[in-house]
Amino acid sequence: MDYPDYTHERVLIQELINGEEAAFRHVVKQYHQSMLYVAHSIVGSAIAEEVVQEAWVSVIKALPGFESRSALKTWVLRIVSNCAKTRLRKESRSIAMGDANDLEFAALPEARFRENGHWASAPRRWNIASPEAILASEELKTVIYTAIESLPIIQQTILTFRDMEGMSMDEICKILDISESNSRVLLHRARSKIWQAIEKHQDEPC
Amino acid sequence: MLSCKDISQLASENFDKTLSPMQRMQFRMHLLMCHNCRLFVSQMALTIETIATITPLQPNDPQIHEQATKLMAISKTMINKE
Ligand SMILES: [Zn+2]
Repeated sequence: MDYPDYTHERVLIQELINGEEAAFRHVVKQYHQSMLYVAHSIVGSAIAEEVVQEAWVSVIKALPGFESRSALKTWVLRIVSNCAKTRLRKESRSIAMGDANDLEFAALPEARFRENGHWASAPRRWNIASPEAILASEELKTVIYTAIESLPIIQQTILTFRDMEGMSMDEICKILDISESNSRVLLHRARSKIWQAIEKHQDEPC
Repeated sequence: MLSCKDISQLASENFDKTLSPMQRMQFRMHLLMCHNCRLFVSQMALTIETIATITPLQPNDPQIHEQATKLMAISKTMINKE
């Protein structure tokens, strides 16, 4: 399929308003999964897809009035967030943030440390030294993807938005409606899980 | 004094440069003395840099086509209403 380059968002927005198919394909490719992450994080998996569809309709409706005060994607994700939160209110539920509530737990297993806080099982040396080297190994790549997919959805969302897409923490917190300190803890947990997955693979390659 | 466990908890914030000046100093002091934590902090940095090079999940072409078609139909009905 053909995906034109929309470096200039004004062009993209105008083409969406004009109903250009390529423009719609572009935003679906670039935004849809992120929209699902937001909806899933806030309302849970069962109605995430429904909320995203609702959000798309709002996006299309509101697009002619979009004023470019933020990036289009940020604006779209805020709409998803609002749709999701409205949905929660209607069903009088609160945000299912899962383990965001037990923030006391350490990111690494307790057994890795002695009582005095020293390493009980110290990090092992890795025989790889660059992201390129890590991702050159198909095996290790699979290990990392699997580790990411097995994270709780909120951690997966924060890790993707922050580390893969480079979104600001501030924006992530606004969209997911969580505090900066919670999001930092969750991000660190997610990263620690990936670190552990790489370490485990170094110890016992599959 | 920060323990190795503290270092493991603060490694992300160190990477993101969000530690307070006091914490940053204590963090560095610990690394000067602790080989294990130096190793951990460098591996954590490598982990984060690796994640940064991964392309986020995207829908596949048939899914994109289906969703885009749906959206264009919605968009058309809205224009017709105006
Ligand atoms: Zn240490």
